[in-house]
Amino acid sequence: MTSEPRLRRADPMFVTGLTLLGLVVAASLVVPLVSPFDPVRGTAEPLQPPSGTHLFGTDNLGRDMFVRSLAAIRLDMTLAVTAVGVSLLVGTLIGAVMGVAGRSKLSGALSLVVDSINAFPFIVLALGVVAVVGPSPAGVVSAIIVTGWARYARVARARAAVVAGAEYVSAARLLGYSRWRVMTRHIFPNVYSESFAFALSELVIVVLAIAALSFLGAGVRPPTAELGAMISEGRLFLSQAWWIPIFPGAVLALAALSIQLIADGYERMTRYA
Amino acid sequence: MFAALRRHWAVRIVARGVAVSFIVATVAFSVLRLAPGDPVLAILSDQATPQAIEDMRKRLGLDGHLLVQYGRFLWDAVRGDLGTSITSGVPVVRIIADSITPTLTLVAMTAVISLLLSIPIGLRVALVPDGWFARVFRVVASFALATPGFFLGLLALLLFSIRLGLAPVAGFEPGFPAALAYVWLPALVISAQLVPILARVFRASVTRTLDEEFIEAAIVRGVSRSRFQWHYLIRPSVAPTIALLGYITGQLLGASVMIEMVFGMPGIGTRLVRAVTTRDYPTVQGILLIFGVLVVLISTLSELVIRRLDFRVGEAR
Repeated sequence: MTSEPRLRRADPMFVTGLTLLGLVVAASLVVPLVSPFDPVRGTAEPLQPPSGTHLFGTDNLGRDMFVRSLAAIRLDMTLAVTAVGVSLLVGTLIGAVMGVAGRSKLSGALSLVVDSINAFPFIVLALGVVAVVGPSPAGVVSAIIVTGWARYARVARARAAVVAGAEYVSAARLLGYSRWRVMTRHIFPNVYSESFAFALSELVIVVLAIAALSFLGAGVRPPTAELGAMISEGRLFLSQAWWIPIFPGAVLALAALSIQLIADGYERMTRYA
Repeated sequence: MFAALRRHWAVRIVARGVAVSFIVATVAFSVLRLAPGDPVLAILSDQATPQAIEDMRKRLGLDGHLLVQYGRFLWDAVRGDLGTSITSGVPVVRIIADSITPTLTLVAMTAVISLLLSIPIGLRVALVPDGWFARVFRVVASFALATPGFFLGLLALLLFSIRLGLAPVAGFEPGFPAALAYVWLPALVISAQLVPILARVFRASVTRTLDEEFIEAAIVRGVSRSRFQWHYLIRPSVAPTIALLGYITGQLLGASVMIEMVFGMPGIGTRLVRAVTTRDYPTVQGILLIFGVLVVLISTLSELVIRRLDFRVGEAR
Protein backbone atom coordinates (compact mmCIF):
# COMPACT_ATOMS: atom_id res chain seq x y z
CA MET A 1 0.00 0.00 0.00
CA THR A 2 3.00 2.27 -0.52
CA SER A 3 2.81 5.20 -2.92
CA GLU A 4 1.45 4.19 -6.31
CA PRO A 5 2.97 6.50 -8.91
CA ARG A 6 0.65 5.25 -11.66
CA LEU A 7 -2.54 6.38 -9.91
CA ARG A 8 -3.26 9.90 -11.05
CA ARG A 9 -6.97 10.47 -11.52
CA ALA A 10 -8.99 9.23 -8.56
CA ASP A 11 -11.88 7.05 -9.70
CA PRO A 12 -15.26 8.19 -8.26
CA MET A 13 -16.15 4.62 -7.26
CA PHE A 14 -12.83 4.26 -5.49
CA VAL A 15 -13.32 7.55 -3.59
CA THR A 16 -16.90 6.68 -2.61
CA GLY A 17 -15.85 3.26 -1.37
CA LEU A 18 -12.87 4.63 0.54
CA THR A 19 -15.04 7.30 2.20
CA LEU A 20 -17.73 4.81 3.21
CA LEU A 21 -15.21 2.30 4.54
CA GLY A 22 -13.31 5.08 6.31
CA LEU A 23 -16.51 6.15 8.08
CA VAL A 24 -17.32 2.57 9.13
CA VAL A 25 -13.78 1.90 10.36
CA ALA A 26 -13.54 5.26 12.19
CA ALA A 27 -16.90 4.66 13.88
CA SER A 28 -15.89 1.12 14.84
CA LEU A 29 -12.71 2.46 16.46
CA VAL A 30 -14.22 5.46 18.25
CA VAL A 31 -17.79 4.53 19.24
CA PRO A 32 -16.99 1.50 21.47
CA LEU A 33 -14.51 3.71 23.37
CA VAL A 34 -16.79 6.67 24.05
CA SER A 35 -20.16 4.90 24.32
CA PRO A 36 -21.53 4.25 27.84
CA PHE A 37 -22.62 0.77 26.67
CA ASP A 38 -20.54 -2.39 26.50
CA PRO A 39 -20.56 -4.64 23.38
CA VAL A 40 -20.56 -7.88 25.43
CA ARG A 41 -22.23 -7.13 28.79
CA GLY A 42 -25.88 -6.08 28.64
CA THR A 43 -26.73 -3.13 30.91
CA ALA A 44 -29.81 -1.67 29.19
CA GLU A 45 -33.48 -2.68 29.01
CA PRO A 46 -33.74 -5.77 26.71
CA LEU A 47 -35.58 -5.88 23.33
CA GLN A 48 -35.94 -2.13 22.91
CA PRO A 49 -36.66 -0.93 19.36
CA PRO A 50 -34.28 1.58 17.73
CA SER A 51 -34.40 5.00 19.48
CA GLY A 52 -32.26 8.06 20.14
CA THR A 53 -30.38 6.35 22.98
CA HIS A 54 -30.05 3.01 21.18
CA LEU A 55 -29.72 3.75 17.47
CA PHE A 56 -29.98 0.04 16.54
CA GLY A 57 -32.12 -0.98 19.53
CA THR A 58 -31.11 -3.55 22.14
CA ASP A 59 -31.08 -7.34 22.01
CA ASN A 60 -32.65 -9.93 24.32
CA LEU A 61 -29.77 -9.53 26.79
CA GLY A 62 -30.00 -5.74 26.92
CA ARG A 63 -26.91 -5.11 24.82
CA ASP A 64 -26.80 -1.95 22.71
CA MET A 65 -26.81 -3.23 19.10
CA PHE A 66 -25.09 -0.10 17.74
CA VAL A 67 -21.99 -0.52 19.89
CA ARG A 68 -22.10 -4.29 19.46
CA SER A 69 -22.37 -4.10 15.64
CA LEU A 70 -19.46 -1.65 15.44
CA ALA A 71 -17.26 -3.71 17.74
CA ALA A 72 -18.16 -6.70 15.56
CA ILE A 73 -17.22 -5.10 12.24
CA ARG A 74 -13.89 -4.10 13.80
CA LEU A 75 -13.20 -7.74 14.64
CA ASP A 76 -14.40 -8.96 11.23
CA MET A 77 -12.25 -6.45 9.37
CA THR A 78 -9.17 -7.27 11.47
CA LEU A 79 -9.57 -11.01 10.87
CA ALA A 80 -10.26 -10.54 7.15
CA VAL A 81 -7.29 -8.23 6.57
CA THR A 82 -5.00 -10.66 8.45
CA ALA A 83 -6.25 -13.67 6.47
CA VAL A 84 -6.04 -11.89 3.12
CA GLY A 85 -2.61 -10.43 3.92
CA VAL A 86 -1.06 -13.79 4.78
CA SER A 87 -2.70 -15.68 1.88
CA LEU A 88 -1.65 -12.90 -0.50
CA LEU A 89 2.00 -13.15 0.58
CA VAL A 90 2.20 -16.95 0.70
CA GLY A 91 0.13 -17.52 -2.45
CA THR A 92 1.92 -14.89 -4.50
CA LEU A 93 5.36 -16.21 -3.51
CA ILE A 94 4.47 -19.80 -4.37
CA GLY A 95 2.66 -18.75 -7.56
CA ALA A 96 5.59 -16.60 -8.68
CA VAL A 97 8.00 -19.50 -8.18
CA MET A 98 5.63 -21.76 -10.15
CA GLY A 99 5.34 -19.28 -13.00
CA VAL A 100 9.11 -18.78 -13.24
CA ALA A 101 9.87 -22.50 -12.88
CA GLY A 102 7.73 -23.13 -15.96
CA ARG A 103 7.39 -26.76 -16.96
CA SER A 104 9.50 -28.27 -14.20
CA LYS A 105 8.50 -31.12 -11.88
CA LEU A 106 8.21 -28.76 -8.90
CA SER A 107 5.86 -26.50 -10.82
CA GLY A 108 3.78 -29.48 -11.99
CA ALA A 109 3.38 -30.85 -8.48
CA LEU A 110 2.46 -27.45 -7.03
CA SER A 111 -0.01 -26.86 -9.86
CA LEU A 112 -1.79 -30.09 -9.00
CA VAL A 113 -2.16 -28.99 -5.38
CA VAL A 114 -3.31 -25.49 -6.34
CA ASP A 115 -5.86 -26.66 -8.91
CA SER A 116 -7.35 -29.34 -6.70
CA ILE A 117 -7.78 -26.94 -3.77
CA ASN A 118 -9.42 -24.46 -6.13
CA ALA A 119 -11.81 -27.15 -7.39
CA PHE A 120 -13.56 -27.17 -4.01
CA PRO A 121 -16.21 -24.73 -2.88
CA PHE A 122 -14.21 -22.22 -0.79
CA ILE A 123 -16.58 -22.22 2.18
CA VAL A 124 -16.91 -26.02 2.22
CA LEU A 125 -13.17 -26.64 2.42
CA ALA A 126 -12.84 -23.90 5.05
CA LEU A 127 -15.54 -25.68 7.08
CA GLY A 128 -13.49 -28.87 6.85
CA VAL A 129 -10.41 -27.11 8.21
CA VAL A 130 -12.40 -25.52 11.05
CA ALA A 131 -13.55 -29.04 12.00
CA VAL A 132 -9.93 -29.83 12.87
CA VAL A 133 -8.67 -26.45 14.08
CA GLY A 134 -11.74 -25.60 16.09
CA PRO A 135 -14.13 -22.64 16.00
CA SER A 136 -12.26 -19.53 17.17
CA PRO A 137 -10.98 -16.28 15.63
CA ALA A 138 -7.59 -17.91 15.02
CA GLY A 139 -9.29 -21.03 13.64
CA VAL A 140 -11.28 -19.05 11.07
CA VAL A 141 -8.24 -17.11 9.95
CA SER A 142 -6.16 -20.25 9.50
CA ALA A 143 -9.01 -22.01 7.66
CA ILE A 144 -9.21 -19.11 5.22
CA ILE A 145 -5.44 -19.03 4.72
CA VAL A 146 -5.23 -22.81 4.16
CA THR A 147 -7.96 -22.71 1.49
CA GLY A 148 -7.34 -19.19 0.15
CA TRP A 149 -3.64 -19.11 -0.75
CA ALA A 150 -4.22 -21.33 -3.79
CA ARG A 151 -6.34 -18.65 -5.47
CA TYR A 152 -3.53 -16.09 -5.24
CA ALA A 153 -1.08 -18.72 -6.44
CA ARG A 154 -3.17 -19.22 -9.59
CA VAL A 155 -3.21 -15.49 -10.33
CA ALA A 156 0.51 -15.08 -9.61
CA ARG A 157 1.44 -18.17 -11.64
CA ALA A 158 -0.19 -16.77 -14.77
CA ARG A 159 1.32 -13.33 -14.27
CA ALA A 160 4.82 -14.59 -13.41
CA ALA A 161 4.91 -16.72 -16.54
CA VAL A 162 4.33 -13.55 -18.58
CA VAL A 163 6.79 -11.43 -16.59
CA ALA A 164 9.51 -14.08 -16.71
CA GLY A 165 9.47 -13.85 -20.49
CA ALA A 166 9.61 -10.05 -20.59
CA GLU A 167 12.62 -8.30 -22.07
CA TYR A 168 13.63 -6.44 -18.92
CA VAL A 169 13.96 -9.78 -17.10
CA SER A 170 16.20 -11.18 -19.84
CA ALA A 171 18.18 -7.94 -19.66
CA ALA A 172 18.64 -8.34 -15.89
CA ARG A 173 19.79 -11.93 -16.41
CA LEU A 174 22.25 -10.86 -19.11
CA LEU A 175 23.65 -8.24 -16.76
CA GLY A 176 24.71 -11.18 -14.61
CA TYR A 177 22.41 -10.52 -11.66
CA SER A 178 21.88 -13.47 -9.36
CA ARG A 179 18.71 -15.56 -9.62
CA TRP A 180 17.65 -14.27 -6.21
CA ARG A 181 18.08 -10.66 -7.24
CA VAL A 182 16.17 -11.13 -10.51
CA MET A 183 13.39 -12.84 -8.59
CA THR A 184 13.05 -10.31 -5.77
CA ARG A 185 13.84 -7.10 -7.62
CA HIS A 186 12.46 -7.68 -11.10
CA ILE A 187 9.86 -10.44 -11.13
CA PHE A 188 8.17 -10.28 -7.73
CA PRO A 189 7.30 -6.53 -7.77
CA ASN A 190 5.66 -6.88 -11.16
CA VAL A 191 3.66 -9.91 -10.12
CA TYR A 192 2.70 -8.34 -6.84
CA SER A 193 0.95 -5.28 -8.27
CA GLU A 194 -1.62 -7.43 -10.06
CA SER A 195 -2.03 -9.76 -7.08
CA PHE A 196 -2.78 -6.76 -4.89
CA ALA A 197 -5.72 -5.75 -7.09
CA PHE A 198 -6.96 -9.34 -6.87
CA ALA A 199 -6.57 -9.29 -3.08
CA LEU A 200 -8.84 -6.26 -2.82
CA SER A 201 -11.64 -8.12 -4.59
CA GLU A 202 -10.91 -11.19 -2.43
CA LEU A 203 -11.28 -9.09 0.71
CA VAL A 204 -15.02 -8.77 0.00
CA ILE A 205 -15.36 -12.54 -0.30
CA VAL A 206 -13.28 -13.15 2.84
CA VAL A 207 -15.18 -10.67 5.04
CA LEU A 208 -18.41 -12.37 3.97
CA ALA A 209 -16.88 -15.84 4.43
CA ILE A 210 -15.75 -15.10 8.00
CA ALA A 211 -19.23 -13.87 8.86
CA ALA A 212 -20.74 -16.88 7.09
CA LEU A 213 -18.58 -19.37 9.01
CA SER A 214 -19.50 -17.67 12.28
CA PHE A 215 -23.16 -17.65 11.23
CA LEU A 216 -22.91 -21.43 10.81
CA GLY A 217 -21.39 -21.77 14.30
CA ALA A 218 -18.01 -22.71 12.82
CA GLY A 219 -16.22 -19.42 13.37
CA VAL A 220 -16.18 -16.81 16.11
CA ARG A 221 -18.54 -17.95 18.87
CA PRO A 222 -20.87 -15.81 20.98
CA PRO A 223 -20.76 -13.84 23.25
CA THR A 224 -17.88 -12.25 21.31
CA ALA A 225 -19.28 -9.48 19.11
CA GLU A 226 -19.09 -10.80 15.52
CA LEU A 227 -21.59 -9.92 12.79
CA GLY A 228 -22.32 -13.43 11.45
CA ALA A 229 -22.74 -14.86 14.95
CA MET A 230 -24.99 -11.93 15.86
CA ILE A 231 -27.20 -12.49 12.82
CA SER A 232 -27.38 -16.18 13.70
CA GLU A 233 -28.42 -15.46 17.30
CA GLY A 234 -30.78 -12.73 16.16
CA ARG A 235 -32.68 -14.78 13.59
CA LEU A 236 -34.68 -16.36 16.39
CA PHE A 237 -36.13 -12.90 16.99
CA LEU A 238 -36.81 -12.15 13.34
CA SER A 239 -40.57 -11.81 13.76
CA GLN A 240 -40.67 -10.06 17.19
CA ALA A 241 -37.55 -7.84 17.13
CA TRP A 242 -36.40 -7.48 13.51
CA TRP A 243 -33.65 -4.98 14.46
CA ILE A 244 -31.54 -7.63 16.21
CA PRO A 245 -30.56 -9.52 13.03
CA ILE A 246 -31.20 -6.77 10.44
CA PHE A 247 -28.79 -4.07 11.65
CA PRO A 248 -25.71 -6.33 11.89
CA GLY A 249 -26.55 -7.59 8.40
CA ALA A 250 -26.84 -4.04 7.09
CA VAL A 251 -23.48 -3.07 8.64
CA LEU A 252 -21.86 -6.14 7.06
CA ALA A 253 -23.42 -5.38 3.67
CA LEU A 254 -22.30 -1.74 3.87
CA ALA A 255 -18.71 -2.74 4.66
CA ALA A 256 -18.72 -5.34 1.86
CA LEU A 257 -20.20 -2.86 -0.62
CA SER A 258 -17.58 -0.22 0.16
CA ILE A 259 -14.73 -2.72 -0.22
CA GLN A 260 -16.29 -3.85 -3.51
CA LEU A 261 -16.38 -0.22 -4.72
CA ILE A 262 -12.73 0.22 -3.69
CA ALA A 263 -11.72 -2.96 -5.49
CA ASP A 264 -13.63 -2.14 -8.70
CA GLY A 265 -12.41 1.46 -8.66
CA TYR A 266 -8.80 0.42 -8.03
CA GLU A 267 -8.91 -2.01 -10.91
CA ARG A 268 -10.27 0.65 -13.28
CA MET A 269 -7.67 3.17 -12.15
CA THR A 270 -4.73 0.85 -12.64
CA ARG A 271 -6.05 -0.39 -15.97
CA TYR A 272 -6.56 3.03 -17.57
CA ALA A 273 -3.65 4.86 -15.97
CA MET B 1 -14.13 -50.42 -32.11
CA PHE B 2 -12.49 -49.53 -28.78
CA ALA B 3 -9.85 -47.44 -30.47
CA ALA B 4 -12.55 -45.37 -32.14
CA LEU B 5 -14.29 -44.98 -28.79
CA ARG B 6 -11.12 -43.74 -27.14
CA ARG B 7 -10.76 -41.02 -29.72
CA HIS B 8 -14.35 -39.84 -29.26
CA TRP B 9 -14.50 -36.42 -27.57
CA ALA B 10 -17.15 -37.46 -25.06
CA VAL B 11 -15.05 -40.39 -23.82
CA ARG B 12 -12.03 -38.14 -23.38
CA ILE B 13 -14.01 -35.59 -21.38
CA VAL B 14 -15.48 -38.27 -19.11
CA ALA B 15 -12.06 -39.90 -18.58
CA ARG B 16 -10.59 -36.60 -17.48
CA GLY B 17 -13.49 -36.11 -15.07
CA VAL B 18 -12.75 -39.48 -13.45
CA ALA B 19 -9.06 -38.58 -13.10
CA VAL B 20 -9.86 -35.23 -11.47
CA SER B 21 -12.23 -36.99 -9.05
CA PHE B 22 -9.25 -38.88 -7.65
CA ILE B 23 -7.35 -35.64 -7.05
CA VAL B 24 -10.41 -34.20 -5.34
CA ALA B 25 -10.58 -37.30 -3.14
CA THR B 26 -6.96 -36.68 -2.20
CA VAL B 27 -7.79 -33.19 -0.97
CA ALA B 28 -10.71 -34.50 1.11
CA PHE B 29 -8.32 -37.07 2.57
CA SER B 30 -5.63 -34.48 3.29
CA VAL B 31 -7.76 -31.94 5.16
CA LEU B 32 -8.02 -34.06 8.31
CA ARG B 33 -4.35 -35.08 8.15
CA LEU B 34 -2.63 -31.87 7.14
CA ALA B 35 -4.69 -29.24 8.96
CA PRO B 36 -2.97 -28.01 12.12
CA GLY B 37 -4.13 -29.85 15.25
CA ASP B 38 -4.77 -33.51 16.08
CA PRO B 39 -8.37 -34.68 15.46
CA VAL B 40 -8.06 -37.50 17.98
CA LEU B 41 -7.04 -35.20 20.83
CA ALA B 42 -9.77 -32.78 19.78
CA ILE B 43 -12.47 -35.45 20.25
CA LEU B 44 -11.14 -37.05 23.43
CA SER B 45 -10.47 -35.23 26.67
CA ASP B 46 -7.02 -34.61 28.10
CA GLN B 47 -7.44 -37.51 30.53
CA ALA B 48 -7.98 -40.14 27.80
CA THR B 49 -5.92 -43.31 28.27
CA PRO B 50 -3.35 -44.24 25.61
CA GLN B 51 -5.59 -47.24 24.81
CA ALA B 52 -8.61 -44.98 24.16
CA ILE B 53 -6.48 -42.71 21.96
CA GLU B 54 -5.27 -45.73 19.98
CA ASP B 55 -8.84 -47.02 19.53
CA MET B 56 -10.11 -43.65 18.31
CA ARG B 57 -7.18 -43.37 15.90
CA LYS B 58 -8.19 -46.74 14.44
CA ARG B 59 -11.85 -45.75 14.21
CA LEU B 60 -10.98 -42.61 12.27
CA GLY B 61 -8.66 -44.54 9.96
CA LEU B 62 -5.73 -42.47 11.24
CA ASP B 63 -3.54 -45.44 12.25
CA GLY B 64 -0.59 -46.72 10.26
CA HIS B 65 1.59 -45.06 7.64
CA LEU B 66 0.08 -42.13 5.72
CA LEU B 67 0.36 -43.98 2.41
CA VAL B 68 -1.38 -47.03 3.89
CA GLN B 69 -4.17 -44.78 5.19
CA TYR B 70 -4.46 -43.19 1.75
CA GLY B 71 -4.67 -46.51 -0.04
CA ARG B 72 -7.29 -47.77 2.39
CA PHE B 73 -9.32 -44.56 2.04
CA LEU B 74 -9.33 -44.67 -1.77
CA TRP B 75 -10.13 -48.40 -1.92
CA ASP B 76 -13.00 -48.01 0.55
CA ALA B 77 -14.32 -44.92 -1.25
CA VAL B 78 -14.34 -46.71 -4.61
CA ARG B 79 -16.32 -49.55 -3.04
CA GLY B 80 -18.77 -46.99 -1.66
CA ASP B 81 -17.63 -47.10 1.96
CA LEU B 82 -16.92 -43.70 3.50
CA GLY B 83 -16.70 -44.85 7.12
CA THR B 84 -19.23 -44.42 9.91
CA SER B 85 -20.24 -41.32 11.81
CA ILE B 86 -18.64 -41.01 15.26
CA THR B 87 -21.65 -39.29 16.78
CA SER B 88 -24.47 -41.47 15.43
CA GLY B 89 -22.76 -44.68 14.29
CA VAL B 90 -24.59 -44.47 10.95
CA PRO B 91 -22.58 -45.17 7.76
CA VAL B 92 -21.58 -41.87 6.14
CA VAL B 93 -22.88 -43.08 2.76
CA ARG B 94 -26.29 -43.53 4.37
CA ILE B 95 -26.17 -39.97 5.81
CA ILE B 96 -25.32 -38.57 2.40
CA ALA B 97 -28.01 -40.62 0.63
CA ASP B 98 -30.62 -39.44 3.12
CA SER B 99 -29.78 -35.76 2.77
CA ILE B 100 -28.77 -35.32 -0.86
CA THR B 101 -32.28 -34.99 -2.35
CA PRO B 102 -33.06 -31.52 -0.93
CA THR B 103 -29.60 -30.26 -1.91
CA LEU B 104 -29.75 -31.55 -5.47
CA THR B 105 -33.30 -30.23 -5.91
CA LEU B 106 -32.14 -26.83 -4.66
CA VAL B 107 -29.05 -26.78 -6.88
CA ALA B 108 -30.98 -27.89 -9.98
CA MET B 109 -33.75 -25.36 -9.39
CA THR B 110 -31.15 -22.61 -8.88
CA ALA B 111 -29.34 -23.53 -12.09
CA VAL B 112 -32.61 -23.40 -14.07
CA ILE B 113 -33.74 -20.09 -12.56
CA SER B 114 -30.34 -18.42 -13.02
CA LEU B 115 -29.98 -19.48 -16.64
CA LEU B 116 -33.56 -18.44 -17.48
CA LEU B 117 -32.94 -15.02 -15.90
CA SER B 118 -29.38 -14.31 -17.02
CA ILE B 119 -29.86 -15.07 -20.72
CA PRO B 120 -32.56 -12.43 -21.40
CA ILE B 121 -30.88 -9.94 -19.04
CA GLY B 122 -27.46 -10.43 -20.62
CA LEU B 123 -28.97 -10.18 -24.12
CA ARG B 124 -30.75 -6.94 -23.33
CA VAL B 125 -27.63 -5.38 -21.72
CA ALA B 126 -25.47 -6.45 -24.68
CA LEU B 127 -27.88 -5.10 -27.32
CA VAL B 128 -28.54 -1.77 -25.51
CA PRO B 129 -25.38 -1.26 -23.39
CA ASP B 130 -26.13 2.34 -22.37
CA GLY B 131 -29.87 2.07 -21.75
CA TRP B 132 -31.68 2.50 -18.44
CA PHE B 133 -31.95 -1.28 -18.10
CA ALA B 134 -28.19 -1.78 -18.23
CA ARG B 135 -27.67 0.93 -15.61
CA VAL B 136 -30.26 -0.48 -13.24
CA PHE B 137 -28.75 -3.94 -13.72
CA ARG B 138 -25.26 -2.72 -12.78
CA VAL B 139 -26.46 -1.05 -9.55
CA VAL B 140 -28.64 -3.98 -8.49
CA ALA B 141 -25.78 -6.37 -9.30
CA SER B 142 -23.26 -4.64 -7.04
CA PHE B 143 -25.75 -4.56 -4.17
CA ALA B 144 -26.64 -8.23 -4.63
CA LEU B 145 -22.98 -9.28 -4.70
CA ALA B 146 -22.08 -7.28 -1.58
CA THR B 147 -24.95 -8.61 0.53
CA PRO B 148 -24.04 -11.79 2.40
CA GLY B 149 -26.08 -14.68 1.00
CA PHE B 150 -27.29 -15.89 4.38
CA PHE B 151 -28.49 -12.38 5.22
CA LEU B 152 -30.31 -12.07 1.90
CA GLY B 153 -31.93 -15.41 2.74
CA LEU B 154 -33.00 -14.10 6.13
CA LEU B 155 -34.55 -10.99 4.55
CA ALA B 156 -36.42 -13.17 2.03
CA LEU B 157 -37.60 -15.45 4.83
CA LEU B 158 -38.88 -12.45 6.79
CA LEU B 159 -40.68 -10.92 3.80
CA PHE B 160 -42.05 -13.91 1.85
CA SER B 161 -42.49 -16.58 4.52
CA ILE B 162 -43.26 -14.72 7.74
CA ARG B 163 -44.95 -11.53 6.49
CA LEU B 164 -46.61 -12.67 3.25
CA GLY B 165 -46.91 -16.41 3.95
CA LEU B 166 -46.00 -17.31 0.36
CA ALA B 167 -43.51 -20.03 1.30
CA PRO B 168 -43.04 -22.46 4.20
CA VAL B 169 -40.76 -21.18 6.98
CA ALA B 170 -38.61 -24.32 7.20
CA GLY B 171 -38.29 -27.91 6.06
CA PHE B 172 -38.46 -29.97 2.89
CA GLU B 173 -40.73 -32.56 1.31
CA PRO B 174 -39.55 -34.83 -1.48
CA GLY B 175 -41.64 -35.46 -4.60
CA PHE B 176 -42.29 -33.37 -7.67
CA PRO B 177 -44.87 -30.71 -6.90
CA ALA B 178 -44.37 -30.73 -3.11
CA ALA B 179 -40.62 -30.00 -3.25
CA LEU B 180 -41.09 -26.89 -5.40
CA ALA B 181 -42.96 -25.07 -2.62
CA TYR B 182 -39.96 -25.46 -0.31
CA VAL B 183 -37.27 -24.83 -2.88
CA TRP B 184 -38.37 -21.85 -4.98
CA LEU B 185 -37.52 -19.15 -2.43
CA PRO B 186 -34.04 -20.42 -1.43
CA ALA B 187 -33.27 -21.02 -5.11
CA LEU B 188 -34.29 -17.45 -5.92
CA VAL B 189 -32.01 -16.15 -3.14
CA ILE B 190 -28.97 -18.01 -4.49
CA SER B 191 -29.91 -16.89 -8.03
CA ALA B 192 -29.88 -13.26 -6.91
CA GLN B 193 -26.14 -13.62 -6.42
CA LEU B 194 -25.52 -15.91 -9.38
CA VAL B 195 -27.45 -14.00 -12.07
CA PRO B 196 -25.21 -10.87 -11.92
CA ILE B 197 -22.14 -13.01 -12.62
CA LEU B 198 -23.71 -15.20 -15.30
CA ALA B 199 -25.48 -12.29 -17.04
CA ARG B 200 -22.18 -10.40 -17.23
CA VAL B 201 -20.43 -13.34 -18.86
CA PHE B 202 -23.32 -13.87 -21.28
CA ARG B 203 -23.34 -10.16 -22.16
CA ALA B 204 -19.60 -10.21 -22.93
CA SER B 205 -20.09 -13.32 -25.01
CA VAL B 206 -23.00 -11.85 -27.02
CA THR B 207 -20.93 -8.71 -27.62
CA ARG B 208 -18.17 -10.88 -29.08
CA THR B 209 -20.64 -12.89 -31.17
CA LEU B 210 -22.07 -9.66 -32.63
CA ASP B 211 -18.68 -9.05 -34.27
CA GLU B 212 -18.77 -12.37 -36.13
CA GLU B 213 -19.21 -12.40 -39.90
CA PHE B 214 -22.19 -14.75 -39.83
CA ILE B 215 -24.15 -12.10 -37.90
CA GLU B 216 -23.69 -9.58 -40.69
CA ALA B 217 -24.51 -12.22 -43.25
CA ALA B 218 -27.73 -13.06 -41.39
CA ILE B 219 -28.77 -9.41 -41.24
CA VAL B 220 -28.07 -8.98 -44.95
CA ARG B 221 -30.06 -12.12 -45.73
CA GLY B 222 -32.98 -10.76 -43.68
CA VAL B 223 -33.36 -13.65 -41.26
CA SER B 224 -36.49 -13.41 -39.08
CA ARG B 225 -36.11 -11.79 -35.66
CA SER B 226 -36.79 -14.88 -33.54
CA ARG B 227 -34.60 -17.11 -35.71
CA PHE B 228 -31.84 -14.48 -35.61
CA GLN B 229 -31.89 -14.20 -31.80
CA TRP B 230 -31.93 -17.93 -31.08
CA HIS B 231 -29.78 -19.41 -33.89
CA TYR B 232 -27.37 -16.59 -34.50
CA LEU B 233 -27.04 -14.83 -31.15
CA ILE B 234 -28.02 -16.99 -28.16
CA ARG B 235 -26.85 -20.43 -29.24
CA PRO B 236 -23.27 -19.49 -30.09
CA SER B 237 -23.01 -17.24 -27.02
CA VAL B 238 -24.39 -19.54 -24.39
CA ALA B 239 -21.33 -21.82 -24.21
CA PRO B 240 -19.16 -19.60 -21.97
CA THR B 241 -22.11 -19.13 -19.62
CA ILE B 242 -22.61 -22.87 -19.27
CA ALA B 243 -18.86 -23.36 -18.92
CA LEU B 244 -18.96 -20.88 -16.05
CA LEU B 245 -21.98 -22.62 -14.57
CA GLY B 246 -19.85 -25.74 -14.22
CA TYR B 247 -17.15 -23.68 -12.57
CA ILE B 248 -19.69 -21.86 -10.42
CA THR B 249 -21.27 -25.09 -9.16
CA GLY B 250 -18.67 -24.96 -6.44
CA GLN B 251 -19.86 -21.58 -5.24
CA LEU B 252 -23.43 -22.72 -5.72
CA LEU B 253 -22.88 -25.72 -3.45
CA GLY B 254 -21.11 -23.48 -0.96
CA ALA B 255 -24.03 -21.04 -1.01
CA SER B 256 -26.48 -23.92 -0.60
CA VAL B 257 -24.75 -24.88 2.66
CA MET B 258 -25.67 -21.50 4.14
CA ILE B 259 -29.08 -21.21 2.51
CA GLU B 260 -30.06 -24.68 3.75
CA MET B 261 -29.22 -23.56 7.28
CA VAL B 262 -31.28 -20.37 6.90
CA PHE B 263 -34.30 -22.17 5.46
CA GLY B 264 -33.99 -25.17 7.76
CA MET B 265 -33.66 -27.64 4.88
CA PRO B 266 -32.41 -31.10 5.93
CA GLY B 267 -29.85 -31.18 3.13
CA ILE B 268 -26.24 -32.24 2.88
CA GLY B 269 -24.98 -28.75 3.78
CA THR B 270 -26.90 -28.83 7.07
CA ARG B 271 -25.34 -32.22 7.79
CA LEU B 272 -21.88 -30.90 7.00
CA VAL B 273 -22.28 -27.99 9.41
CA ARG B 274 -23.58 -30.28 12.14
CA ALA B 275 -20.66 -32.67 11.56
CA VAL B 276 -18.17 -29.79 11.73
CA THR B 277 -19.56 -28.39 14.98
CA THR B 278 -19.69 -31.86 16.61
CA ARG B 279 -16.26 -32.84 15.21
CA ASP B 280 -17.67 -35.87 13.41
CA TYR B 281 -14.60 -36.31 11.19
CA PRO B 282 -15.61 -39.29 9.02
CA THR B 283 -18.81 -37.44 8.06
CA VAL B 284 -16.90 -34.22 7.32
CA GLN B 285 -14.44 -36.14 5.15
CA GLY B 286 -17.19 -38.02 3.29
CA ILE B 287 -19.24 -34.90 2.59
CA LEU B 288 -16.15 -32.99 1.42
CA LEU B 289 -15.49 -35.83 -1.02
CA ILE B 290 -19.07 -35.76 -2.30
CA PHE B 291 -19.01 -31.99 -2.77
CA GLY B 292 -15.75 -32.24 -4.72
CA VAL B 293 -17.03 -35.07 -6.89
CA LEU B 294 -20.28 -33.17 -7.54
CA VAL B 295 -18.30 -30.14 -8.76
CA VAL B 296 -16.25 -32.35 -11.08
CA LEU B 297 -19.38 -34.17 -12.28
CA ILE B 298 -21.25 -30.98 -13.14
CA SER B 299 -18.30 -29.33 -14.87
CA THR B 300 -17.82 -32.51 -16.90
CA LEU B 301 -21.51 -32.50 -17.85
CA SER B 302 -21.42 -28.81 -18.76
CA GLU B 303 -18.41 -29.47 -20.96
CA LEU B 304 -20.37 -32.19 -22.78
CA VAL B 305 -23.30 -29.79 -23.29
CA ILE B 306 -21.00 -27.08 -24.63
CA ARG B 307 -19.61 -29.43 -27.23
CA ARG B 308 -23.12 -30.15 -28.47
CA LEU B 309 -24.25 -26.52 -28.50
CA ASP B 310 -21.41 -24.52 -29.96
CA PHE B 311 -20.07 -25.67 -33.30
CA ARG B 312 -17.07 -23.34 -32.96
CA VAL B 313 -15.58 -25.21 -29.97
CA GLY B 314 -15.31 -28.38 -32.05
CA GLU B 315 -13.47 -26.61 -34.85
CA ALA B 316 -10.95 -25.08 -32.49
CA ARG B 317 -9.75 -28.42 -31.18
